[in-house]
Amino acid sequence: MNSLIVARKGRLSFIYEKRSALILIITALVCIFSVFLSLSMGQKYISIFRVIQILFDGSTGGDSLIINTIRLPRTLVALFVGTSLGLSGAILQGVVKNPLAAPNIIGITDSGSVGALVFLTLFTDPKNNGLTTSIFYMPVFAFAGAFIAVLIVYLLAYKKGVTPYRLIMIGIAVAGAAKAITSILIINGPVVFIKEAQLWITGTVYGTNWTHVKLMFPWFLVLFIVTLIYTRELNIQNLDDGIAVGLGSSVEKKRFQLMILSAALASGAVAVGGGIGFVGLIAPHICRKLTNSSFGNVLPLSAVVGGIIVVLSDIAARTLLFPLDLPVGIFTAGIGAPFFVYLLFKSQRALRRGF
Amino acid sequence: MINRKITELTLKSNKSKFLFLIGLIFLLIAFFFASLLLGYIKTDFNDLVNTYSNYTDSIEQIVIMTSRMPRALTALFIGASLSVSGLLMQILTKNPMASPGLLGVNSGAAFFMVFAYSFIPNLTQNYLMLFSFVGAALAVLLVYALAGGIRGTIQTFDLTLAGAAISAIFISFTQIVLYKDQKTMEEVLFWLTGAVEGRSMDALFKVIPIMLISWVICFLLAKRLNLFSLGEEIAKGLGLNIELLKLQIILLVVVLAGASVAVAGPIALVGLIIPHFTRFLVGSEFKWAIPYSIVLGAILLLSADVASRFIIFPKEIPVGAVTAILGTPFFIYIARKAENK
Amino acid sequence: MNISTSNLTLGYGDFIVLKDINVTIPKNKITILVGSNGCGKSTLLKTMARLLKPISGKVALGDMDIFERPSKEIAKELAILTQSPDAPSDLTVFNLVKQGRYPYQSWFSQWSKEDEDIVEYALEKTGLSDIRNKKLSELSGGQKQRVWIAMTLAQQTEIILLDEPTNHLDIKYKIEVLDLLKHLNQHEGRTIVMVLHDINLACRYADHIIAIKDGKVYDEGNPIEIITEKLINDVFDINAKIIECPLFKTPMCITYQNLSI
Repeated sequence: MNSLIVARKGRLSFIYEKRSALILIITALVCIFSVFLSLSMGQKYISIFRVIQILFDGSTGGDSLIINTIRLPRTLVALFVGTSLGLSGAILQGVVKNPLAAPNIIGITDSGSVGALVFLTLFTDPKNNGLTTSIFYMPVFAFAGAFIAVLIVYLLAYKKGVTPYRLIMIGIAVAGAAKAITSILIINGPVVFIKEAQLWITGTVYGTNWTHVKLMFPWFLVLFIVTLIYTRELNIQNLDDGIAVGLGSSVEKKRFQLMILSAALASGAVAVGGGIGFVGLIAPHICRKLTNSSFGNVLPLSAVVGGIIVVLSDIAARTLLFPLDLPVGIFTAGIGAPFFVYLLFKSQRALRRGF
Repeated sequence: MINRKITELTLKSNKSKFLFLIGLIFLLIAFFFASLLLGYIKTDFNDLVNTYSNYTDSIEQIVIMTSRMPRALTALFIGASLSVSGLLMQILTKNPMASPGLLGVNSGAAFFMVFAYSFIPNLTQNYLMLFSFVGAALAVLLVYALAGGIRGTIQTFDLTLAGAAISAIFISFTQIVLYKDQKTMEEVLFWLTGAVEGRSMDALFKVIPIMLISWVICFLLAKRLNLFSLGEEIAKGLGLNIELLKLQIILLVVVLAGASVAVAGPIALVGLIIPHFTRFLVGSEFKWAIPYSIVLGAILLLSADVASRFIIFPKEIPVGAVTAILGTPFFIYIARKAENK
Repeated sequence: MNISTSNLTLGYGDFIVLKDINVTIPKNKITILVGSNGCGKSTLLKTMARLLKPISGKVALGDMDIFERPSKEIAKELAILTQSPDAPSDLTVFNLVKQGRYPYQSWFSQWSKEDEDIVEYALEKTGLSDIRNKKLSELSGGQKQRVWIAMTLAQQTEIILLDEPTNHLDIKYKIEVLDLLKHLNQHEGRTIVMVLHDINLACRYADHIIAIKDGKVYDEGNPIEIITEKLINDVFDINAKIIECPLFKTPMCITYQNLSI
């Protein structure tokens, strides 16, 4: 029993694995470090000590301006996008009982693109190619697109309940249709569309500011807490449906709630960051490697690891080919995919669960 | 319960299969003519006849000769080849949801094409096609090797995973190129969605023979494919060289899907839907499934291409977008029906 | 608490598997459902565990309709182990057995002293205490099945339903699992209902056998009383000679197709 941390007080009681707690603390430290690294790297190098000084002393001046108005909001957005995607992927993998599921597989990303393009189509002035409304409404449309798509997938997969198989397959179909609509909208629209749309589809946190942070933070925080409350349900969902029902879980209802939770997290991330791929797939994988499939371990870790991936990728995206500021999505896929191949061949057997 | 599935076959006797096939071929011819005659510029049957008997350089004739004829041929051959390659993929992986895209064909072709277009100036269409084909083939070989195909055994699941990973890498590379070179982006976008127009007859005549030969080889393999679909163990027991056959299937998929994507870009869902529909009609006996796939695939792409000219008339949309949208309800129908638990 | 069914008709879509089934599962006994493949014995078991909804008729747990009570309440009285269940192979024994406490837990009570004690008990009963931190992928088939049984034990129910608990197990592990169930029945008075393929093992372990044939209950009762050559022939469509098992004194069937071979 000494491998467990147990806390009890009256009717309250909690349990956590010691090893996982340790790993969580270490990754959280790595995450904090990557945030500071992200604040210090860029066109002008600012030493980490100076960064800390600026953050906690509240000093003003050139460096402070760079950090507070440009790097800090961008880094925080990257962090929240990553944590949301990591969590969303972990939830989805539990719901469909398949470690290969990811938010973009059920069409969240592609439908988000449709939403963003609908916005551009509606509000681009054909005379001067300028926007007739604030670009800040684009995330709202992207969010709506992504979220509606998940509802459609769920409804279409429903036939006396949904099964993981139908969710995945119909998700792929809806994603395909969304892709087609995206290209129709792009081809039908003005030329400026292409660049804007492509950038969005690849996924970027370029040009994000405090408004984005203010939008994302409460959204993420609330969903994160709800997710932690649902940890138990996810552990049950990950078992066979028969066993889950036998244990008294209202499987179908919880599955729907968890889908919505996963969709809400991913849609939030997609709305701000566009189609940043692979994070939702990779982060939970890394976490399972570090600990095991128990969601008490996987969920908080996935959030932290997802955050690390996007923050580090964004550092790479804006410094490696400097002065080019590449979309971070290129790097999450460019790093994520080879890593995925590596994982695949390290743990082929562990991955193989009836599909 | 299993028996019920077999009796569900729509066409049972060989005679009805044959007659229905003849009917489909007539439908195919009808769509072929529709593709030649319908579009933004109005043409009639006389224009078509005159184009090839009494050429006078009129706008109608130019359109038919240089635009619509190659376009209709492209749709016909690519629709057919994609669905045959899909059929082969589904046998190989024993997964009714498999299609050539699974092997990374599309993303490999896309990357090589975009790369060549962006970095090597003044490439002719033929060379671009060659590059795409090489990219498609390379992607398949990588996926195949990664999934353990070289060592002799290959698992569907590994294939799927390796395909997804290799695709992601190529897509990421493609995005970097496109991001650095905006001009290329604008020019290849149509191709990237899948389009059958704008191919020269010259380029087509290089591809068509290869496709025809591949179809014939498929026919020759029909008996072995029948055995293979009974399961590897059984097929092996009956004396079939499984590993050789798998390699042959992969090569056929590379040639058929690779050539298709080289010509027309990634056209979604044809390779997935048609094999399904085929099996629904005639079951999985390959001497019927192969011709049915060819004819149905051609019909689908020809009709989708005709539709693509009218959906947002007078603008055209890539035919790949049309097949994706038309195919989605079908795919959903299959997915809902496939699992009866 | 008794489980009983009244006028139960079961099926999938318009395909009827079982019709008008009226059985009562005897309390504190081992009941085994037998019948040929596809006769609906698993369907019946799953319906009794509320996993499947009947076309018509009722399943009563005590005197209440099982489909009208909250699922979590039922999970405290009745546990079901489905056939060859699947779980992520990197879970530890402890991780999985712990899930049996789900119906008793809530978000703010995730690991009470009671939870801990009962999981300890379940691990000990099934001989898993020493390997609690092993991953499922490192276990033998028999051990894995014991983990699942431990999970149902952690559910602390009076009734345990099992769908072919010995499926795919070596003969050694078959006996190990069945002995464990017998032990739970005899020493703790748990009511056990299971589907079993092997008619001889069924006769040895069952207090009560329900034989199903053509969508109906062919016969039910103590194996010594009801297992006859005629029953074997009617239910399984095979000839048999019934002798007394020299060890357990239960009926034993020597089956044959044609004696003149």
